Amino acid sequence: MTFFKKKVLKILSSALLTGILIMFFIYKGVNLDNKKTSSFVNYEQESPSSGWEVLFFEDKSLPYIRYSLFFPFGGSSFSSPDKSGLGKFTLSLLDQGAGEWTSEEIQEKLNFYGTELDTRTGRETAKVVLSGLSLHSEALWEIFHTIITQPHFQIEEIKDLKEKMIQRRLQSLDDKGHTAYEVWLDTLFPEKSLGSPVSGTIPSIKNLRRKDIQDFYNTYISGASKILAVTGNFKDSLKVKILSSLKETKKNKRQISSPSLNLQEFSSSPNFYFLTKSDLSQSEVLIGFSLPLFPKKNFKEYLAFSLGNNVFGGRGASHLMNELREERGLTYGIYSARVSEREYGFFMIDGNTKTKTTAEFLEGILSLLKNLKEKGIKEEELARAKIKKKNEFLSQIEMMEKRADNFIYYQYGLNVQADFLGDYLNSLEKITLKEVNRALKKNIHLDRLHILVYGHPDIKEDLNKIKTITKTFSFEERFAEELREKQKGEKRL
Amino acid sequence: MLTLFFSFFILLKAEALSPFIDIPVEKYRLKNGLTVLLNPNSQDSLVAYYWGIPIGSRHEKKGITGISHMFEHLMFRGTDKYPNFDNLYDKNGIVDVNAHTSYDYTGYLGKFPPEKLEFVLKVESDRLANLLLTEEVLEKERKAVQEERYLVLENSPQGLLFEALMSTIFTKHPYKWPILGYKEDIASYKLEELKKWYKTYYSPNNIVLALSGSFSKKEVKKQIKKYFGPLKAQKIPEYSFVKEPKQQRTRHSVVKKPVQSKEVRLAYIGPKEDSMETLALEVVALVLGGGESSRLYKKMVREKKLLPDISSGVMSLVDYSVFLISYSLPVGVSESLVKSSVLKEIEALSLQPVTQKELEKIRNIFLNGQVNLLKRSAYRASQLAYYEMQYKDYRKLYSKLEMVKNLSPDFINNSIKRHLTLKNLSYVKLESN
Repeated sequence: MTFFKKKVLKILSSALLTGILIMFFIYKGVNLDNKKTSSFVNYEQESPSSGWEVLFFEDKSLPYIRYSLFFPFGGSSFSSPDKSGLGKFTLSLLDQGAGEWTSEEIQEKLNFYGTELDTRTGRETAKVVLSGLSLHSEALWEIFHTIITQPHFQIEEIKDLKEKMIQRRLQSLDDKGHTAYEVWLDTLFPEKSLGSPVSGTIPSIKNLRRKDIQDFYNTYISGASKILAVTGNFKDSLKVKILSSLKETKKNKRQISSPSLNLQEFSSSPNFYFLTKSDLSQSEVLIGFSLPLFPKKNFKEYLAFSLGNNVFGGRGASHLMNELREERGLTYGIYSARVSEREYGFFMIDGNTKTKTTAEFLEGILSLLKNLKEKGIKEEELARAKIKKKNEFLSQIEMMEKRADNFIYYQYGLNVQADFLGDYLNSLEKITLKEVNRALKKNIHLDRLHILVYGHPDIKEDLNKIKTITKTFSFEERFAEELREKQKGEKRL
Repeated sequence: MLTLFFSFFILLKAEALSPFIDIPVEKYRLKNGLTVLLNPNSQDSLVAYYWGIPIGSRHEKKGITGISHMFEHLMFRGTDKYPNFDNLYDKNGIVDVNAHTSYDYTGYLGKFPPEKLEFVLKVESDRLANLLLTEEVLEKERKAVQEERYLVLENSPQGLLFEALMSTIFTKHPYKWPILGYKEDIASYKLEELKKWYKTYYSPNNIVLALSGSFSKKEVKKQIKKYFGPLKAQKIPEYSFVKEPKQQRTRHSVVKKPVQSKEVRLAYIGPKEDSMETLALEVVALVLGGGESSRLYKKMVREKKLLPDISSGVMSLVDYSVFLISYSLPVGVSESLVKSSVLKEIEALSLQPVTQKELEKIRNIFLNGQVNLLKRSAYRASQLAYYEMQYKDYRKLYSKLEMVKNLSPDFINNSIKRHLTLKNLSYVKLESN
């Protein structure tokens, strides 16, 4: 062996030995013996620094890794209506330049590993997810950590993203179901950020400044609590690497906030809005009301109402589908949902029918809802709902990552106790028919309905015969400001 | 010594990228021709089932377009013994129950707790033999299908755009009509036509049944034999392939609706799914428009700032494939400039062939995709059944990765030259009227 080769080998050996020693001391410095068991899922939990919780969910069944960072306060409702879309915009910018890498470099790296960053923004919470093959776990962690902790928010990237989001906004306005839901939610929470679209409007997107993005990031992402779920097939060395990356120093210690939407007991007046568009051959019908039922506050009632809702409009055979589709052929699909987040909740029925049967459809839904309130559900329906909900739950949590997501959402998003999901099925089983029907009677308010029909203008008279329309407006009127902004672009040609 | 040291790591890396994902599957066939695929997995709480027939809209004729989809709906109307199918399954806790019809096949799926195995097999086999088909049932379901057509086509600009796309690319082949069928055909189905469809195609020798989840193989085999064994095989008519005439020049089509977003699709007809050329085109689609590091994205979005986004992909069907490039055209941007820039980028592929790094990226994409598919029992069951239906070999689920290894730059180049040409192009757009 030449002198040079001997030298190289000596250096490599020393480096290897040093590396092993460093890893040993880091390992010893980081306590990895934090295994926890809930009846729902097994995990290890660490708190490496203020604002960070890290949960490891091991799954050796397939060679994958998944990093999911949950922000309990990263939702769209934490920005004012004139800046709606800010939360989503901020998350979407994270992988557009961070640390030493430009946007292009990050995308090259991510796509090379066969993946891309997935961002999801709700009204209260938000999440960023990066998943890939376990053999790339360390490389993917390095990218993920950089994206989350050192985003650039460059002006050029902000400009490009605005163009993208505006185009997506235009596409969403062409989606009838999406438009109907957005307008309906706005009638439920008027002038509140909750009622604004998650992705923003054209004026609000254009209104976003770099400072807004940085402030949102500092307050709700960097400056608020975050929960990292690491799921998949990983080694201890990865855990060590993750925890040491997040370890707090005196330099980066920060105050962590837990903001609130400050909704109090908000409620808006009942209404029946008719949104018209002359090219529609099918109507969207949405009916619902605010529903303050939360797993943390009123758990039993929340479960009882859920069971009632499952019978009324859940998947499969339901009152709504049996009557309006199977018997009368009025629709391809209709369902109802109970939405309960941390500070707000609502009940909603959503279906569609062709133009000429809209009035009949609306009348049918109202009649079924009245029936539900007055007569409730039957014993055999409750038994069926319990089995269905149990198996739907088991199906939903089949994958470890879903179990992890559910666990984190309920514990950190909705602030319920750790074993909530583990107790869920037992608690469901104990709910009685009396409790269900009481919950339905108490919480269904036929005098507080928010109704939206999005359809052809010709059906107005028929609709008025069923229920008096509070307000009629065309699509062009409702979205006038956005269409004006769009036309500004055309005039620049 | 050093060479050996590094060789070891290169070998290790190569091993790690090979198709190492395998799931245990037992395949067997009953005497009546029913093919069964069993994938036990004790980690699942439920059992996912999927049974499919390799019959879809491409088997239809003019006048009965959409009949395979219509029939899929009727399969949920119950039998004499088990009327009210949806209610019955609900009562027994069978969940995620659904079905779908595509151009090439129709599938039925759901999930059940292990103790309901016998019940599900009993009901599923009964609806294969004794489906209730009456005028009353047909009329009720016809209305639901008509509503579905309103929802996904007539009331959906994107749906109309896709319908226009397929009817522009295909002029003779049945892929030209929507899976849901034409409005006038849905309105005029006769009960006898549907009964004939049932009798002809819903035969055990035309069915693949896949189960994935928590079950005992011994028990499953026993129950399948008991309930599916007595079903009688039928002679399945030979598929009459309709050759699509060779396209001679670029085709154009416009859908005009009061929309806010102008959408453009560039489509090229390609060879059948089961061909190396189609795989080559899938690779090209990812190189051109798969993600923000793709060539079209870099050129059209980052460099020229003409578009906010662009993507490409391949719809692989049994008889033909469709190579598709999609983008929205922002206000104020020249349509012809974008079109010519995109076409130029396709041409540039022959001068700057697919690199090794791009191929490695694609293998990672395929591998990631495969891992994601295998995470859920429902996907495992449906994918196993799909590949068995279309290729008579469920193991093709794994083979893409190996096949990509065998693609040479020359072969990819030749596939581009043969299929991504102006003669082969259909240019379809959705714009405001």
